[in-house]
Amino acid sequence: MERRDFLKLAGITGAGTLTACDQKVGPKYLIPYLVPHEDVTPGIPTWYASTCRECPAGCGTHVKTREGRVIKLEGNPESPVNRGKLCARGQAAHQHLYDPDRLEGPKRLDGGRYVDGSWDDSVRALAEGIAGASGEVVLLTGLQTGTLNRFYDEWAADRGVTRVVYEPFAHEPILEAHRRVFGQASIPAYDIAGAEFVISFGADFLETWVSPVRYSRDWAAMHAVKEPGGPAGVFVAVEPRLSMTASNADEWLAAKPGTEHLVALAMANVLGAGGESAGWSPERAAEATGVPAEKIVEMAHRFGGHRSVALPGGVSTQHAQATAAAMAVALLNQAGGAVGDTVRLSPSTSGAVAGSYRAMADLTARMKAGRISAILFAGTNPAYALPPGLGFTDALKQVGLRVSFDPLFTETASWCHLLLPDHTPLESWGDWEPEAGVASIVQPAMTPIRDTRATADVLLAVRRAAAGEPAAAPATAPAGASLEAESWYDYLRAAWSDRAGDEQAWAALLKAGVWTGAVTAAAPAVATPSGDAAGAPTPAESAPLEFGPAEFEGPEGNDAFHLLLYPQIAMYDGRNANQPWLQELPDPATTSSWHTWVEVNGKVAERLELEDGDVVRLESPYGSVEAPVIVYPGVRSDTVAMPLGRGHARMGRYAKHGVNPVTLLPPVSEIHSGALAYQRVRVSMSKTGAWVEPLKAQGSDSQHGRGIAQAVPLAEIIAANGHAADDHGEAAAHHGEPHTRERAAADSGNTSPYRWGMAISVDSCIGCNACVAACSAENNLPFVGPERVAKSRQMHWIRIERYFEDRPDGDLETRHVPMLCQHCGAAPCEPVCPVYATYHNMDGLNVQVYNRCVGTRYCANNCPYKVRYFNWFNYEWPEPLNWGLNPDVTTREVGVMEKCSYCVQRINAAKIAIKDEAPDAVIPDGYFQTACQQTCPTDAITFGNLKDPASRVARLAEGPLAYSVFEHLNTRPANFYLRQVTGRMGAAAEVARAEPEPVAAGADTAAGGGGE
Amino acid sequence: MPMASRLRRPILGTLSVLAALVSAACAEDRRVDILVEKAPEQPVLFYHTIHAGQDQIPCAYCHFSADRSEEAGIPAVGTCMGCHRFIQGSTPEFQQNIQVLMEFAADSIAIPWVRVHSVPTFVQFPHKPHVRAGVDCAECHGDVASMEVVERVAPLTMGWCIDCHRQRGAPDDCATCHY
Amino acid sequence: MEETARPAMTEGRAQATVYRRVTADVLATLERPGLGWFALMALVLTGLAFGALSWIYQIKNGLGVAGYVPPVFWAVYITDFVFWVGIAHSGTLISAILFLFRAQFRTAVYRISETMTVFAVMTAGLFPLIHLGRVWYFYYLIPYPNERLLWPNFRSPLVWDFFAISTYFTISSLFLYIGLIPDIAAARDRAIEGTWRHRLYSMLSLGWQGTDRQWRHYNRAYLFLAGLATPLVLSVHSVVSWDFAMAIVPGWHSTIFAPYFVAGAIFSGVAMVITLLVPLRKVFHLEDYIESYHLDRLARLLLLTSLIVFYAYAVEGFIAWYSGSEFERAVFWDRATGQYAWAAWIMYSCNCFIPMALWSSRVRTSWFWMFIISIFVNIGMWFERFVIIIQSLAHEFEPYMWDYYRPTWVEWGITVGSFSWFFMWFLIFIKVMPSMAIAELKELLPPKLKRQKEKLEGRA
Repeated sequence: MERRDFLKLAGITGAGTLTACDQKVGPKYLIPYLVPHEDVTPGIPTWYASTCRECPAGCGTHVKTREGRVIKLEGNPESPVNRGKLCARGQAAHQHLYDPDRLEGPKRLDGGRYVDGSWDDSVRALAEGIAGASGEVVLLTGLQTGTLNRFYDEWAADRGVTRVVYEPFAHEPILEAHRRVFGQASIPAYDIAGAEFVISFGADFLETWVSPVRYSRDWAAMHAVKEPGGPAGVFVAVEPRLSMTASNADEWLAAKPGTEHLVALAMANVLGAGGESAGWSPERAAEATGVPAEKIVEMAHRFGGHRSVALPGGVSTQHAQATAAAMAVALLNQAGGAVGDTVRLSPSTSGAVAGSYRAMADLTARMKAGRISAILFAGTNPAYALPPGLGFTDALKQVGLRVSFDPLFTETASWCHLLLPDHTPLESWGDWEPEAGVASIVQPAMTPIRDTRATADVLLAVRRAAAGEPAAAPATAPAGASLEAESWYDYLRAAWSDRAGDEQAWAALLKAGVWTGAVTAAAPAVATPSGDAAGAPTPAESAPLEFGPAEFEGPEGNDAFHLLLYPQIAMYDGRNANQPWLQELPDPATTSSWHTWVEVNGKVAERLELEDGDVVRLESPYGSVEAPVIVYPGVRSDTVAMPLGRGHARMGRYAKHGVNPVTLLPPVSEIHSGALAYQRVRVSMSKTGAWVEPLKAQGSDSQHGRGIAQAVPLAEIIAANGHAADDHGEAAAHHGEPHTRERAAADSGNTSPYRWGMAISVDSCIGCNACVAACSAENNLPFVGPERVAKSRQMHWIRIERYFEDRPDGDLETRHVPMLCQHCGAAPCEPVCPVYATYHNMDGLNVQVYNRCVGTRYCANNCPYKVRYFNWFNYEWPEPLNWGLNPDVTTREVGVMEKCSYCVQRINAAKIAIKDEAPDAVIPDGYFQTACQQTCPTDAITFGNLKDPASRVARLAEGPLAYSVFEHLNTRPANFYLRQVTGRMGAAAEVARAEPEPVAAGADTAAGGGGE
Repeated sequence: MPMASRLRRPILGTLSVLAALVSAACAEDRRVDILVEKAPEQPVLFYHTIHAGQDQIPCAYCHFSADRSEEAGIPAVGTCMGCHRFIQGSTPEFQQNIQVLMEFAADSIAIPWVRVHSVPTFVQFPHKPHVRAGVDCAECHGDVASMEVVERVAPLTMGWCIDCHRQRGAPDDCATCHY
Repeated sequence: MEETARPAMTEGRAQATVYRRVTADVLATLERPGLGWFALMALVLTGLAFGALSWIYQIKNGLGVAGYVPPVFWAVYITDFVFWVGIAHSGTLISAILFLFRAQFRTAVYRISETMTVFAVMTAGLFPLIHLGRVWYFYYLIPYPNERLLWPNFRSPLVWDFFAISTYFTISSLFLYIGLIPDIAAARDRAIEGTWRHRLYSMLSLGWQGTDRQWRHYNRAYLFLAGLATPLVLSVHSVVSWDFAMAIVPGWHSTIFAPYFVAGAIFSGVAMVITLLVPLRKVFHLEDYIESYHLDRLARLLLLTSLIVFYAYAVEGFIAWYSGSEFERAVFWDRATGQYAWAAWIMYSCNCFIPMALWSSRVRTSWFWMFIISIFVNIGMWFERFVIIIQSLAHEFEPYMWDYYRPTWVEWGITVGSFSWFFMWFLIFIKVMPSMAIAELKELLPPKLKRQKEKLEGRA
């Protein structure tokens, strides 16, 4: 019962001493502070502005703390990157901080075992190790920007240490391509919001690519139907697999793996670009890619005819033609006149400074040659990320001193002599430059919970210990900041002296969290691709490109498939693998979690007699893995796809699930950019005969015409100018009066000024699951683990239902429906509860009283939306994960039902707060937000008071797109859904419908149905 | 009547079983009141009689956040020392107690006060709205100023809460306290 | 009435039989149990222990140890509950309703079916507790004045259940007891003074002397209780059926449920009576009292109810189509062809097809075949509940949630335990109480018959 004690205890105390006690009577002791803490009042949250470091995007965050504990993260509205929103990884960031498997403190390897060491000894050992190094000393860091990046460079220069940067997804091909085309190795700023036509060549910009939260917002702005029923932006995705991003496209062109860029090239050709594209007529491209020629022509005209932008990246820039692919897209942008308009070649977003895979290859070679005598790992985990074929870990054995600064015992750390754990980002000082002219502050939201130390401080200490004379600080050293600094904080502070000199400015900066201004002098330095063996272009880089389909090696024939490896939205490059909320987050495409699966097309599954859960063995010339199949209509039948990021050998108890498909890859880089080619091999697939319970949340991929996710053609809205009919005649055949906003508003007490409700846009929802993670953090949703997920016992109060509709043109249409408690006016769950544990309250909420519930589960049986979740067990919060629990929300015990409460704790807090203004003041629209609404990157969720006709939710509920799910059951839900708008392609779609033949490639991938 | 006499035992048995069940259920209602000690011994002999009573120090001086937070707040040791750096106590007994406090402060150990007023963790009780609504501290905590050792006077059971809420026209919706 | 025209006993044997022998034969069942009895007892006690341990394990760890897979929030426990309530029905039917109709053939079997009723209700009553998520708060379901000022929700069918079942239990156990009094007295008179049996019987016989006055009161009371019990046969299982019919779940939400469940209950009840009767008759050599004639009558009842159940299935199908509700259709179609088709077809064959054999009188009067068929019907009716509950839930409104449920050993353990619990009581009963109504058997002897007939005509 520790977690419960902690909650109330934390509610009272600063120092969290725990005492065992009964949940029913609360904690036994009240532990006060020794000295009153100035910005902590027990019971009142304190917010700190900081920066999310779960991926390189650098979203600004507001970190909510209670009694000195981080309990929630929300986006910083001031940040130009994410403007108040966060993705699922951001929402779960504090599980990184509270990871139960974090290193307790410094350790050193002693006779094959790790023993605890003191910081002084460790620093001394490190200093001596570096000083005494006969050969080269390497500081291997992950992607860094801003002050810390400069610090590393400066320190490395000062110590005569080589710095190498390695980031698994560093977009090298894009950098290289732009270096070649525009002479600037940077990722341009793509103005998706401003475009009318967006075409993505493999770039999963709604999931992991460069800055997903920003791009999700921009995409929503671009894609939205401009009122009244006006035109809407169009988005087309060209990639072999229906990624979550592609599933939101108005058209998905499933090009053969490794040929996406040829579509771009042919489009450029149609637009008369000439040059490299000259040879690529639509016909030739069509033959190579499987995308019909007239589609290519149509897209080209669309691209030329509108304010357009083409995005390179993702799986399409990770094959043997990666650089060519990125270049083809760049050429298309140029040909379409996008460059300088929707594509701005500013000095880069943070993708730029990462090193390449080739740098690691060189490093490995040097290690093998025994030229390296010490290596320091900071914020990177190559032992996990690199293909074993490279022999990196073997090479490590040649290195005399190996040091890891990672807070976790990662695969890389497990090869190290010294473990000097750094703070996690939420305990750290620092800053981050998401893009030139924008700097986001990283400030600690709580004191370190482990005996950890900032790596920069350790490095400074090393320097002091060595007491060496400082070599001339390189030009990149910012004014004021020097290695003479007492501590990393002083260094950082000094680095900011020009931008936030006096204490006042500094305090203001910490409050705001982000700084925007003119591009600093330092910025251009950011843009040079560091980390390569040498700064100068190697011969390979200047070698001329020739365009063509990327070659894949490996078995041929019927049972051989192109292997498509992609960064999964929750796991990204694997750094988040030990965060249980993210492990349990359903994958947007397959609704699967906790393991690594193999996506197989329905047709193939039929041919090989595979079904969900069948374990198959994939064999490439370089290795083999075994993983269960998930039948997924969104992958071509000549391809199988696997997510990256799981299957850790080390790192922690949650990270071990799944397999690491990198073992299938050849240790070769794409020649021009030096990037690792993730799409490089074909694999043979064979049944092992084993079967595991499929960890797939979704029962049926089809909504069987039940009108859960309704849609309406754009043309129809414009024509009907208001009343749009849905496309599920029978499902929505209303019995009795239709459900309207007024009717819903009437479902609360006459004396109450409120009837809380939601408007949820199926059209805007991209299925990213950020809301799920946000809800987990806000409402203490437990994670239940794979064996329970297998029994569909996950506890997500909100879930994204992903339904496929077969379009007349044979293409797949995906609809994402956030499903949560509908807070029905006539809730079927209420009358059946024998003890009034669930009932309708004055404000129209459907309340669940946990402590009254005896667990008959009748309510869940009777809920047509199936949004009630039962505590089958007492779920564990291993110390210190429980420190992140929200003290304003009861943690539920075994045997009780729970469900979405519309964040009733926030409603009640608002009611108390509003009283400060006037005793009878009514909460105004937008006074507070629910957790899911707050974080939704596309603002698909609107929460508010249905009784107030002026509120946003009321206006949406009265809009032409509004409908309610299972309306004919007359449950009178408080959630209004807004129909998906289809047919943005307009006339183009008509053409496709007219002749389904040419889209065989598309049809082929669409076939096979899902799961059912 | 013989038959009746034969039946008496079983009947009485059944009745007493029922009685036991009902009383058990009622006891369950009052579990907090029963399980949590009413007037526990505290690590430091702190006299509300002196501070709140004789010296008339307002409650909110030490319980600083009652009117703006969920928690009333327990004074930090620093707060105690604010005065007791100078006040050494008038009687040997007091001096002794203050000495105990001094030691806590000196070793910088937070004083583990034993909880007197406690509600189950599934109850959300914010002080602020109650204080703002003009509920006097004494209404729930009793006349602490006259207690040598603080003692719980209110049962802190749900019925007790509901009664007051109804009298004052405060909401008696479950979701006011349970979520 | 047709039955009265044909006395339960043939002339020849009637001559041979004397009252003393009736008493002797019946009370013979109370003699010291043989090895077989102890063997059976040991068996059921083991089963019971297993069930008890399973339950303790479940309480300790949470309901998750059962196989529940959302959206299947109810499963084997509720299946067992409805099954046992069903079993409980024929008891009252045979003893009360047939008594009111003066169906003489009941005499030989009604005691057994009544005890069956009581024990079945005792078993059924356990399951609402077993399936609770927090059984330690079961008393929230009981309306008692509490400090929280809270009451149960009287709109909830589960609360109706609570009252229906407890009422039914009270009445049926009273009914059983009243019927027993004269026989207990008989037992008392033959028991040796000072033995526990004697003490027990003397207490329970409430000083019965068999005087005319007592007999008059007795008949009144019995008639009265019979009248009181009869509507319960309909009400109780109707209420149980409303646990489902009142919900909006497709496959549950149907007006036919009440009659359908009652018929089903009687169907399964009669089957269980046969299942128990056949071995009992053999073991205690009651061939003279329980004849193939009785069996034939029970078989006809079985056939009738089987046809009603058959009809109900058919109507369900029709309604699913006629209602035009795609959800109803989907569930019905899935039932016949979906992932739970195996269970559905076990149900159809055991409840509808196999009983068709009863059209043949040779089967109806064959102890062996009747025993076999009754077993099949028991299985079939258990699966009927399984299908109704689990299959309907598994294929509900939300395609996202569709899933497949498998019971775990805990659920099987508790189910086995419930059977053991039932048979334990039954075994104890047959050794402690006369399992046939001595007095009424005597009534059927020829001399009595005339008077009986006159009595009947007098009343009519």
